[in-house]
Amino acid sequence: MSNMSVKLPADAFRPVKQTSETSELITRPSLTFWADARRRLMKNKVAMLGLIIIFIITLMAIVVPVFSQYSYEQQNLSNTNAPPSTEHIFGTDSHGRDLWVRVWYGARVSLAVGVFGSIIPSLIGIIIGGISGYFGGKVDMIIMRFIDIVMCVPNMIYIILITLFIGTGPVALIIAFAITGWMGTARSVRGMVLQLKEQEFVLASRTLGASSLSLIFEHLVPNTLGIVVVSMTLGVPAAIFQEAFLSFIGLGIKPPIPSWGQLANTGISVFRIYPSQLLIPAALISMTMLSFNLFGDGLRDALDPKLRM
Amino acid sequence: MSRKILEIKDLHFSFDTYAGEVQAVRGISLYLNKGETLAIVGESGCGKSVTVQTVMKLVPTPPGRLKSGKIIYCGEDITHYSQKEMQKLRGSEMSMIFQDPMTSLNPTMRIGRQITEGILKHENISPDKAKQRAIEMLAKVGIANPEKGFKRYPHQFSGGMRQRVMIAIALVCNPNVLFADEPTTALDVTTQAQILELINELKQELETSVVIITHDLGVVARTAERVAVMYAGKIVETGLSRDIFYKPKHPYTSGLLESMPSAGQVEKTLTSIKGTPPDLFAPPKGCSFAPRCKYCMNICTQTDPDEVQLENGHKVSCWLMNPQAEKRELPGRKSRLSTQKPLKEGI
Amino acid sequence: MAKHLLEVKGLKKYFKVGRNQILHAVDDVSFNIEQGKTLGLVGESGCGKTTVGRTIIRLYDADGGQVLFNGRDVHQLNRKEYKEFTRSMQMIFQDPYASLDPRKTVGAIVGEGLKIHKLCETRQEYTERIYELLETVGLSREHASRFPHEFSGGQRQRVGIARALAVNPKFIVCDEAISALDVSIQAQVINLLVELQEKLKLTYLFIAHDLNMVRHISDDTAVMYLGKVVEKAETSELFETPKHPYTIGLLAAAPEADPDFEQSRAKTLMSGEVASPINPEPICRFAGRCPYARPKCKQNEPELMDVGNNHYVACYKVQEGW
Repeated sequence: MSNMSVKLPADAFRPVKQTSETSELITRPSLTFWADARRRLMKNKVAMLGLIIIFIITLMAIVVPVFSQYSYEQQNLSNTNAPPSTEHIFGTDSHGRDLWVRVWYGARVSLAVGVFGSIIPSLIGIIIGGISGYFGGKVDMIIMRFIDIVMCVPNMIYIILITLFIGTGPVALIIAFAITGWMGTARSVRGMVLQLKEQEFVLASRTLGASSLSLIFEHLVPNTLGIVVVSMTLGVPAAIFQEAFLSFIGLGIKPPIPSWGQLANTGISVFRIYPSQLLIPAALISMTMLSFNLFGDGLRDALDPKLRM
Repeated sequence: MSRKILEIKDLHFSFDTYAGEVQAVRGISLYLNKGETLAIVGESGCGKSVTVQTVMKLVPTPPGRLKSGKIIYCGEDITHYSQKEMQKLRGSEMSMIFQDPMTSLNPTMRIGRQITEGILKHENISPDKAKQRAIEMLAKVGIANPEKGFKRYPHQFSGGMRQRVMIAIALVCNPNVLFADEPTTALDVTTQAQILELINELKQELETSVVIITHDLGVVARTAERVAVMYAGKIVETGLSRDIFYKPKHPYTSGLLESMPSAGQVEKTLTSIKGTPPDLFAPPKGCSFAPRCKYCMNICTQTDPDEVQLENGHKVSCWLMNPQAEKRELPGRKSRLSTQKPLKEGI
Repeated sequence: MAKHLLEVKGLKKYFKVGRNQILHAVDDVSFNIEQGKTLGLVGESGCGKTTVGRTIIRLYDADGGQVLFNGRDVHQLNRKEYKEFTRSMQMIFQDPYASLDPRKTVGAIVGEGLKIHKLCETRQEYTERIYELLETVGLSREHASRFPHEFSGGQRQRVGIARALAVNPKFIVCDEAISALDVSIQAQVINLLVELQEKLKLTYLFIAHDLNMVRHISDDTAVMYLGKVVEKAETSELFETPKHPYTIGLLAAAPEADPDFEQSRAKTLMSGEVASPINPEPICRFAGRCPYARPKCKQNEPELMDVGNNHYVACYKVQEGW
């Protein structure tokens, strides 16, 4: 039955005074871009699993070398190549060094090289790409042609040349990665900036008299960050892998400082007799890379503006 | 009644999003008579497109969800048709054209194939005959040199021409119902006039019923015989075009009409509707227009009004229609014919 | 004689779109706007009206002509002078979604101009001013901490207006400021613009394709076609006695919310579509669609001429009275 025919109290038809508060009210909960991304990331179980593994590995890398009774370089020649036991959880290597400590100390080196070896080149790439895209014209032409030429030669060759030049060790590797790794980011940031700078909000800032620097770093770059953060995250496993590869072929981290690649390198010489010495660092490399990739993938989905509802 | 070709009964359609349910369509009933043009007007996000896409089953489910209601086409209940059954209906029985003709045409396929594809899918005729039909159709929608046009790609046409091609694709199988979702919004004024005229001509020639979705009241006045005004997922007022424009009974309709400047208006301030449409994620209690309505009463914020029948099939959902409420005279448009000398027209 | 706040003289803006292909977006456009008045600029998409607006405020560099604001050529200003100039002229953009930085709060967006020009001395003053601006455009202070995507189109457009007002401009270019909005919201924004004009003595260049709104808000109206102004007059004069065939066709094509009138209206339509503005020939650009075109129209280009009553038309038919 229609509610129009129901008899209602006269009070029901008294006019209501309208205020602008009621008609302009925003009823949706407030969510910033990053809060919204975080919510979506949290819902992605696979990505969260990746994050948890990364967290555990990082924690172990920090904690284990501090609290262990052994140090990574302390040798015990009377107990070489010991199998895993309660005393030496991962056993010892051919110099009698405790592998448990060496693996987690190596994790420090590998993770540090991985994280900084990805973040630093990305930051350089953001700045150069931002400038190139914003100013366009000749500046852009020169930077882009330079990148084209440099990218013609495989990265590894540069890295090997640089490590030969400035020596080996974690810092040298990070520097090598920084010098060679910014170009991809620079290109993609430039592309995004080229698109963004025609957007009306950028034009609006220009008409307000904003300087070029503040346009680039206040409006353009922050709007590319989502994608850059993803590529940074996915760059970490790539850097870890490169480090491992270089150390494995003897060009990266040199003993006694351990890294996963370097441990694997040592392990391979005794692989037939003591396979665990290779398998443990190899497994950790794979697991870390997989976790970063899964997490980065989830991050990409979470930050994709097209998926925002 | 047999004149009704399409009928929607109490349709509820929602989208499930992270934050909860967005009630896009909240109980819509409407019908379409054979050979008429019905306009659905409303602001963006009021659910007008969703309604039509639900009939065509073009909304992906999930996140969309048909909660309740019935869709009856030619006496047959098609509410729960499968996608496969709908495919037979789409194109041959009902067709749709969209706002942006560029994105609705396949850019890598020749126009001709995009037209014949539909014919060959629905009818058992030879490719040669289909081509013949397609060329005839292109000529009908005003593509100069249709044989040449048949072999062209979408990007070789201008926006207006592309919309003509879309219309050709939509009408080539002679459907009973044509849904036009903002068909001219992306076009220029002069092109818009041409396209509206074309739809009108073809409608009469092919005896198609047309549902035109728009936010432009001018387009409605030019094309529609009947109008349904939507607000926040509901139809608040429906009736003959003249009744809606000159004698609106719902404050929202009246407000919309008033917020457009009229030709001879002297005052600089327009009568506007305050506020913004409600978020369908959390529609307000009572009448959804109440927070913006200048005639709002206590009851409006409590209970949603039911539909009231007036003459000529004019229906309104508003508490002002209740005999207990104070009588209000809602302003509508005044026809220029009654007040002004006609403008020098034509070119 | 009334002083012109803005004088545009022979403005040209070309874009290179390919080899030897030059798009004449704005080709020799001139007009003046008096202090406190509104000039409406209408035309179909691609006629160059947006480019005119952007070139006036120097988002684009002009390829010819002058833009005189208070007698000074905007395009000759050095960087410091330009920054100072941006305080006098502001712009409201078309797309309420693209015109606000999605990563910034509404407060920061509105306050950007205050920061750039250092208009507030203390933090307190800055926030107070933002609240005041938001309230001026009918929003509330609670909105300052929210992000653009939480707002509706009309609310965003008002944020854009507040941003423009922050630096106390004298002149505002409204570039299709209402075309992306819903009907009921358009009226709100128009009312706001009218109210601000009266209160703050603003001058507007109102660029739009909606003829009814232009008719409502403008004192004078100019019609553009393919980079040229084809007709220019006082608004009521232009709408009641349009003279250029294009203007007449445009007015006839625009549907009105009046079913009886629409029914009775002659259905004679302008044929064809807007031609390409790339490398146009020096002839009347409307000639291809004009039903009255004579050989002369396809050989020479008509100049904008006063045909009486301050009504300027660029058409041989009108000028010579065929």
